[in-house]
Amino acid sequence: MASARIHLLDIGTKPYGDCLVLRFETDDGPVSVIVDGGHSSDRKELVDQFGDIFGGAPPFDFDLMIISHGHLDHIGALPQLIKDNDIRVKHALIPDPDMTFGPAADIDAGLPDEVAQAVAVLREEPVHELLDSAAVEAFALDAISTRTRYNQMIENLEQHGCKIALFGNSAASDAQTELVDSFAKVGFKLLGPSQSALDRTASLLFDAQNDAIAAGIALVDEGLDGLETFDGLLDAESRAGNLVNAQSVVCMFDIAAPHALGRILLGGDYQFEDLDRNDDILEAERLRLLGEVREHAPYAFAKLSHHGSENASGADFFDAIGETKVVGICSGKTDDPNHPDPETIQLLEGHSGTTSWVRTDRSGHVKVSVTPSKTFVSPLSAKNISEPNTSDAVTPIVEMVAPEPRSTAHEPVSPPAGSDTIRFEIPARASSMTVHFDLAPATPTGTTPERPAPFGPPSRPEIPISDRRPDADTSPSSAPIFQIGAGRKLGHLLFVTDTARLGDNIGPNVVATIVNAVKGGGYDICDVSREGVTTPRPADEIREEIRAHIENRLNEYPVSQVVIVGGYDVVPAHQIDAIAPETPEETKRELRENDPDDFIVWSDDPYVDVDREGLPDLPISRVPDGHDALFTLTVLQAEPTNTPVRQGIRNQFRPFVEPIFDLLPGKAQLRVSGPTASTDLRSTDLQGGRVYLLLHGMHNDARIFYGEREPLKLVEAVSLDLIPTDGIDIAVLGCCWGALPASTIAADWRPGQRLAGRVPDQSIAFGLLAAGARAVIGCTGAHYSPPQANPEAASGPLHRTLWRGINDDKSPAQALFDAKWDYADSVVKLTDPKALAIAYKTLSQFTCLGLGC
Amino acid sequence: MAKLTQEQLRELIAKSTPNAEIDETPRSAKKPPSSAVHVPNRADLSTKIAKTRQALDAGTLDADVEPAPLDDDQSEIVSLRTEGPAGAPQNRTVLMSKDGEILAEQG
Repeated sequence: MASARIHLLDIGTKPYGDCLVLRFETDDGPVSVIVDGGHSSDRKELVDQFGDIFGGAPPFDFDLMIISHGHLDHIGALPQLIKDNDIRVKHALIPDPDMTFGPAADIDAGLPDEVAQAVAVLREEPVHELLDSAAVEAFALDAISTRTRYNQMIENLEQHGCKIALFGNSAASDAQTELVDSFAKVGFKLLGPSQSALDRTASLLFDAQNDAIAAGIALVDEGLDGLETFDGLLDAESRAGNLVNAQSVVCMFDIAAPHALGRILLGGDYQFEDLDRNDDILEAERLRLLGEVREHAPYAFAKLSHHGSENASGADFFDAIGETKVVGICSGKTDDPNHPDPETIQLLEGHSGTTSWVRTDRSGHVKVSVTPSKTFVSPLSAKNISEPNTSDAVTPIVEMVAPEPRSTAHEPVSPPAGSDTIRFEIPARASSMTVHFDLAPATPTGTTPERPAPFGPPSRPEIPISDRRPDADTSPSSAPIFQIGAGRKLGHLLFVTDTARLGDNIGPNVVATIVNAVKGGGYDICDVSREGVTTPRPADEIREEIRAHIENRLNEYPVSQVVIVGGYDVVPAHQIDAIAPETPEETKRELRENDPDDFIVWSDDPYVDVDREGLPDLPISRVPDGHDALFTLTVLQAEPTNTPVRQGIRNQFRPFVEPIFDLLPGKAQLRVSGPTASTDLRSTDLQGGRVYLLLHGMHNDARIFYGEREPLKLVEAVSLDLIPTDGIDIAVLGCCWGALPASTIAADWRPGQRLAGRVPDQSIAFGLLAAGARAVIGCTGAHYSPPQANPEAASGPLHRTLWRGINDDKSPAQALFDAKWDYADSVVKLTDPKALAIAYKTLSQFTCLGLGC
Repeated sequence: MAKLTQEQLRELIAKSTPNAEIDETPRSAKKPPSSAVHVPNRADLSTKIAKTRQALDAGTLDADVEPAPLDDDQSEIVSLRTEGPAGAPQNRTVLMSKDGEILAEQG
């Protein structure tokens, strides 16, 4: 049993380009594969992304490196990465240089520079139609030096003991077979092209290059200067790049059992639809390869060859891959209208019922996770973007918050005296941008400029909230306005965030939009970011600052609820030791040895425990950012659904849930797992205003909850892909770690340690929030249920009181707050130190994710 | 009452959860992180609840908020081995009374 994560990396703003990192988890350990290396200038950006994937610093180790074919946008930065020891490679499958560049002595001996450069450019992708003349010249210099760097890369690999198989070299067939065998554990298989087809491409390429050389020399002989010769050759119909594309390695990995869907198809730039070359041998091979692709279809993931061009991914190819789950398009963030091709996008839309797609030209680094039963995309906002690339692509209007200039990258900012600085982050692919300024009269000389208070507007209580609500009719722009809670009246909310850290996750412009909406809604905000602070602040310092601010605000006027915006990496949560101090030491040890969290859980309650006596003094919720702007905005504008339909699933051994579920509005029966398993469900089965899940969860994978088919034997009850995309209002998850918004449990975290927030495709709780939930209430640690005989034990009373409060139309955060106070009444009566630890853990770990109101 | 022996524990588990297997793997709990916040003792929590209720109800503070002493011999906490996804072994924590009744179960 294995799983895979496929990272389609951001390869910058140059045309074309591929770089994929595949990480397999197998019974024999992890396997890491890199396929292609972007552009030669992408080295630093790729190293940064490797750090995001693997953690730590270079060198990053790969078990296998594949260079799909010998184009500059695929060899890319790999020679430099290897030379600089940024990556280390154990096995390499790379094109034979003689096949892909031609015999060196015949090609470049004694040629005029302009001819040699033009020949090098002609065997690449046709960038001269996308770049200005200076960029084409730079590209030509890069192209002509590729072979030298490629050969040096091979030498470096050999020096470091890498086992190299030269694809297309008939003498290297044994090495190729050995390499394929080495990766049998991840189901590696080479589909083609065949050696005879590769030999044919090499022969045709050699002829094409010689023809170009002859034509170039003729132009020189006619008296044309270097530039004219270069341009004359590029304008000729002598492009040979399609022959190099036809050398692309077409391969697959298969991580699943024979009947499960765990196949991954990669095909470099192979033009499955049309080779642009009238040649019987190559055409026969194209048809054979299409047949191979069809034979192994469908795939969990297939990369669309050749950056989504129409000659690679047409109707025949889509027919061949069948009901593949996810396809990916790699390309730089340019406005290249043909990559992906509009017709390819139309085909994708036509297959959207079965196949999702992702594009690096729009979303940058995208991750696709493949298990034998599921395929996930992250971030969710990267899924199914269908806008074509055009030279007049629409750029969104960005609203900026002017009064509070601050660093967007933790760098010192020193605005010049008498002026404010506004920094705009313009998308690399933007071709136009609209900026709207509302200018206020300047402060008279000699008076003190009115600077904003450190934490939001100071005069908030004097103005009724309803009077301060943004009015779309009087707005200077007719564009829709983003509003917290969709513009509902939500009471005296205090938002807490670190705008700089949040900006790192979802973009400073989106943060500005959120701050605008918070202030426009008449709410208060506490921003703990610090201008000029370049090093991460200690979590304790941030926590104390937030607590002090909340305490001050409570002294000024009532706050009805605190809303934290951001994951734990933006605003840290507190680690709570749930074992009562008076517990005997030996019992403490026994408890910690048996609980998977050591009885340490994450909690936000201390932020609102003003008197520090162990219970929250006002409701609190957290909107996790999921490193996804669309997700964050969706959660912040949540509003109640109109249909209070209930839905739920419980573990068959948790019958205490039945009478509680009966309290909820609606007539749906509570499903029981087992026998109900995830394969019996459709996403509409969970679509309801009230969702209640009482199942097993895992701290290392929050995408699946489990029932029990028999005592102590788990069965998959619900998975993230069954969570509907809308229609959810409030969900309660009685599942271990069900509302944990980070990938690290509290017992494992130590001060100073990096803490990664979960992203939407890693959590059912996040999926429910993305489906519009105002609140998902659940645990940050292992949950304890009561037995059938005594529903008043463990967390039973808290579940019941919580749902009663929600039924009484309390806001979810308020209902949880009240339920905790009610539950605390019973906690103080406990005399069993072990039951007390479970009760304290229950009290501390139940968390409200989402707006909470 | 005294703590049950390992054998007695096994018998109890076999009685209440057939086919259950106790995880015999020694597990040493980590030292709690220094950054952890401790929950209050029951007396402090009880005082906070009483004070708040009194403020809300405008009543008098109940002077008798001292909880009864802890009794460590009421239950046993054990880790059972379960069959997780794809048959992978996992542990589940169960709190049991001295007579084998399950008081709370993880999950």
